[in-house]
Parts: sequence; C-alpha cells; structure tokens
Amino acid sequence: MLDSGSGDNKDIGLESGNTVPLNSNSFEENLSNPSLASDPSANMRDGSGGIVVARGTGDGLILRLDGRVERPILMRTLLEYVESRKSFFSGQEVTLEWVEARPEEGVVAELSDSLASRFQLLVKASRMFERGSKAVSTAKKPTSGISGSIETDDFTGSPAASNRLRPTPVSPKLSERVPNAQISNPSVFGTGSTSLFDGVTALSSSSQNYPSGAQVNSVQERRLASEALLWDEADTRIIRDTLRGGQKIESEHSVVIMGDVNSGAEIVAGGDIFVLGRLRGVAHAGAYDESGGGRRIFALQMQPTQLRIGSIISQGSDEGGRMPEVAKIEGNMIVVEPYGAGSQVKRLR
Amino acid sequence: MGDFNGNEPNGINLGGSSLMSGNGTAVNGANKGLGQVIVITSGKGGVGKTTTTASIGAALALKGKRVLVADADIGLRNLDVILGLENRIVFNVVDVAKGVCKPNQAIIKSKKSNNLYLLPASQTDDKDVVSEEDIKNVIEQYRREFHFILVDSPAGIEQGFRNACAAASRAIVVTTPEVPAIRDADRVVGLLSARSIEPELVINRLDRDMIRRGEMLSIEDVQDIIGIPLLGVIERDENVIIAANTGDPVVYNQKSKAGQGFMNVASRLCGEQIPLEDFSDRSIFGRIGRRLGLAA
Repeated sequence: MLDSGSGDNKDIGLESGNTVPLNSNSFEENLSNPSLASDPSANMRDGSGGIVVARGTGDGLILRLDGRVERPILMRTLLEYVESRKSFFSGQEVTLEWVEARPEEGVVAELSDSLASRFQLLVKASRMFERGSKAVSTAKKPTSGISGSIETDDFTGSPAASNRLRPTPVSPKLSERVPNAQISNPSVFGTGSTSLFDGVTALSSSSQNYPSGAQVNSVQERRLASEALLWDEADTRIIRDTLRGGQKIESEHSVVIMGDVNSGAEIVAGGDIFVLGRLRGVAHAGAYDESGGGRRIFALQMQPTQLRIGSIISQGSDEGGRMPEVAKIEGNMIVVEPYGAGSQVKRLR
Repeated sequence: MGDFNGNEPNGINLGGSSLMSGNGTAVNGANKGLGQVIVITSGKGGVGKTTTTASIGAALALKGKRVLVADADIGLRNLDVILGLENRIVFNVVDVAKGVCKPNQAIIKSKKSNNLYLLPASQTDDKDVVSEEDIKNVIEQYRREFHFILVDSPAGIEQGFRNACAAASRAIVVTTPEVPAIRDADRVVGLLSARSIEPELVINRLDRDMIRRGEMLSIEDVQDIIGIPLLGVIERDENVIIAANTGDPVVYNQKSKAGQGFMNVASRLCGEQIPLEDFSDRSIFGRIGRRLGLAA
C-alpha cells in the first residue's frame, strides 16, 4: 500500500516552515490547560523533546512516538504529555504510530494499560509510520464497538431534531484523491454537483507557506521529531467567495469561507468549519470521524438548513442567527452557543 | 400577411440603415458595430423569462434600437406566441444552425416595430439537437445587424441553458419574490459566474399590497439572498396575461405597470439612470403604523 503520494500523513504533513506556538493553534488546547496558554515556552517541544507528536487526521487521533527512546523516558514523557491535556484526551481513542524504530517488546501493552487506566484514553491500534502509506480507515467504519456510544445501525432515531446517520461515504475516495489532485483551474464552478475540491487544493498549494506536494515528504521527515501541533491546521482551506446554491466544498481539513454559504450550498470538512458570513446551507464538520472529532461549526450568522458534526445531524431552526454562534456536539446532540470575545470564550471547552 | 424577409442577396434588409452605417447610438461596451448578446434566464420555470425577453426587446425597439429576440427554448418555443408571430414562422434557429437556410431567411419582423425581429426556435426538435458551438455560430451571424440580441433561455440548467448562454456576454436573471424561484436563481448566478458572465437581476411579479402586509418578500429580502446588481423590478400586472394571450407585448399598453417597468429596464440597458421603483409603503397610515409597531 505504499503509494508515494497518497495518504493522510503526507497531506496533513508538517510542512509549515515556522514553529507555531501552541497558543495560536487550538484554542481548546489553551483552554483545557491554562498553564500552557500562559507560558509561551510551553509549546510542544515542551518536555517531550519531540518524542511525542500528536496529529489529528481524518482517521482520528494519532500519537506519533519515537521508537528509539528508552522505555522509562518514553513512558514518562508520554504520560506527562497526556496528563497535561487530559481533559482533551479523556474518553478518546488514539492510534500509536512509531517512527525511526520499533518499540521494545511490551512497551505498547504497558503504554496502552497506563493510558487507559489513568486517562480513559484507548489505544485502538499501533503501527509503524510509513511515509506515504494510506491511512487505514478504521475510524470511518462504524464497527467494533470500541467506543460503546456509537450505534451503527440505528436509523430509528427519535423524530427530534437530532438524528443519527452515517457520515457520507465519500471519505475513503477522498483520501485517494487528495494528494494527487490535479492543480486545475481554481474556478471550477461548473454544472452539476460542483465540487470545488480541486480548486481548493490549488489554492493551498500556491500559498507561500506550504510547499507543494512534491516537497512535503522530505520536509516532513526533517520535521518529524521537532514539530508537534495538536490540531494541525496548516492545511486549512480558505475560500474567499460566497457559495451559491448547488456548489459544494469537500476537504479533509478545516474550511474557512470568507463570504456567505447560500441555501443549497454544502460544505463537507474533516476539520472545523468557519463561515465568516451567513451560513444558510448545509455544513458538515468532522465529516470523516464518527464522533465528529470534537469539531465545530462557526458562523457569523447561523441560519443553516442543516448542521452535521460527525454522524449527528441537526435541523436548522427558524429563529436565531443574529449574532456569531458556534455549534458543537454535546452528548448526543448538536448545541449552538453564542460565540463572542472575552468571557464567552471559556465556554468553548 | 405582414412583412416577410424574402431572399435578399445582399443580406438582411432591415428597412433602414444597418449598424455599419452608423445609425443610432454606439452600443455600450460592445465592439463598434457588433451588438450585445444578452441571455435572459432564471433556472426556475414560469417566472417570466419569455415575457421579459419580448418586453425588453419591444421596449428597446421603441427607443430606436435594432433588436433581435432569439428563442433558445428548442422544443417548447413560446417567444413567437408572445409576439403574435406564430403564424409567420418558416425557418427557425435549428435550420440556421444546420445550414438549411440563410440567416436572414429565418428572422421575422415584428408586427408593430421595424426595429424588432424574432429568431424562432424549433418546435419539433429538442434541445440536444444543437450544441453550444452551433448556437454561438448562429448568433454571431446576426451581431452586425442588431444593437441588442436578447436570447430567451429555457428553464433549467442543462443543455438548453448552456446553449442559450453560448454567445452571451451579459445575462439577466429573472426571479419572482418567492423562495423556490430565488434558490434556483442563486444556483444560476453561480453557473453564470463560472462562465465569467456577471448577471443582473430583474424581480418580476412584485405585489405592493402583499409586501406591505409582510406576506411577500421585499426587494431587499431578495437582494439579501442573491446579491447581484438590480436591473429592474416589475410589478404584478394582469395586463401581462392578457398580452400573452393576444400576442401583443405589454409595453405597448401605456396603462400597464409592468410595461412601464420593462421600459425602465430597457432605458437602464441603454445607460440611462432611472431610479428604482419604490415598493415601500409611503402611505401615512403605514408610517404611523410602523411607529406604533403595527404595520408589517
């Protein structure tokens, strides 16, 4: 399955040339651990010395570990790392990914036990990191009952506003297309169900911060042990235009729309969705993760037809949508809360 | 029978000077001597594309412009009926495309104006019988002879719509102030933008009373959703229905509100600055009511 261009890893690579301090990355990161937020030197090189790298992919959370590190140091580093972010990790699943060397015998088992017992963090898989390997889409299949809260065949949801449906089956195809997408004419609005995806890829590839696909692998190799960004938003797609009815954007990453999303338009994102305008269409965040991956949908004016996060769907209501709001999953439902500066921000935890 | 254009070995006899001799005003934005091609489309059916095409065409002709209205709704032609010319059709746009006849043999002069001509669609074929390229070539052949070529698009966004847009450099999107029509119009605006055509909006069938009562979307509501430049608003008018059935375009009826609206649109197309009609409530009672929080 080695394919030189494909797979999540390459696409959400660490190709950004700058060290991005943790503060500017994920506001959740900061909020869940205020001490981190206030100490600018406490970025990911923190203590883990690059031993632990966390990635959020369409496949779920991945903890990438340096297999050469001695067992006691590795254990301590990893546990400290998770401890400092435990409210984020609690109840989640991760895949352990080893680089540089295989872990010693028994290390994986010991780590899994500790993580599970101390942080309720479930290690669902462990593998060697292979450059360019296709991400095995385990998270996308609603199976295995690892996380007991996912019901796979329950289509008889209550008639209430929140319903459970499988995420769109587009995701496996997406990870094939992503890295090898043609850099075609960015204005690919055509007829039919228009997908802006190729255009979206073109936009990011031409950005000066992010080298083109050909360079990524080598950059990634060099950066492996040094950068660690919990939510790697380096590949966020930014669209500077209003989406009209019939237009659809799909991306594994987060999407920012500088404009409106009219009724009949659709955004499907593996990451978060930010509509700097009016959201009247359909927005699907965390689209390739059953649980939604903690993803959110933000809009200056939230008047959606439907909101979807992960596998949960919620109808838009007729009221509201006058001030900035953010939608996220709480329990089994999508809740929409005001989003504002200052004291409101802490509610986003 | 009215005036047929017979076989004219020297091209179209328009009964007056052609563009090339410099008669009439220079066409806005077009090459000197070549007419502007404007497609009139909507997405949704029944919102008034054909009426708008015929009416704007007739209005422009009244202002002295040479206008060709072309029916691109192959298989379901209507423009000829609106103009009352259905009995005079011999050749149609498909014939021109296939080379069955010469371009000047297919166009029909209108009843009331020497400046207005019709290029009818075929009723027996369907839209797949000609391609975008075909239609573009057909329309190009007429550009030297007309200031404006208005192409009446079929409803939908498939081949017929694409054909209609083939030669166009401008577009008018017609919508009514109703949610389904607006959604379709929004879709069409997106498709037109992809063709590098920036459309302008005509809102049809506005009802003052309903807007006043808050039962109909206002001009601002529509603009809020579609957000393209507004070319004109046409008030709902029974005369339009009568005009369609009698084959007498509504702009010739001095008393028709819709006719006046179309005349204003035509004036704006010619570059005149005509202020937009005001559909807000100007009555005293309305104003008092608003202050008391009563009126819509």
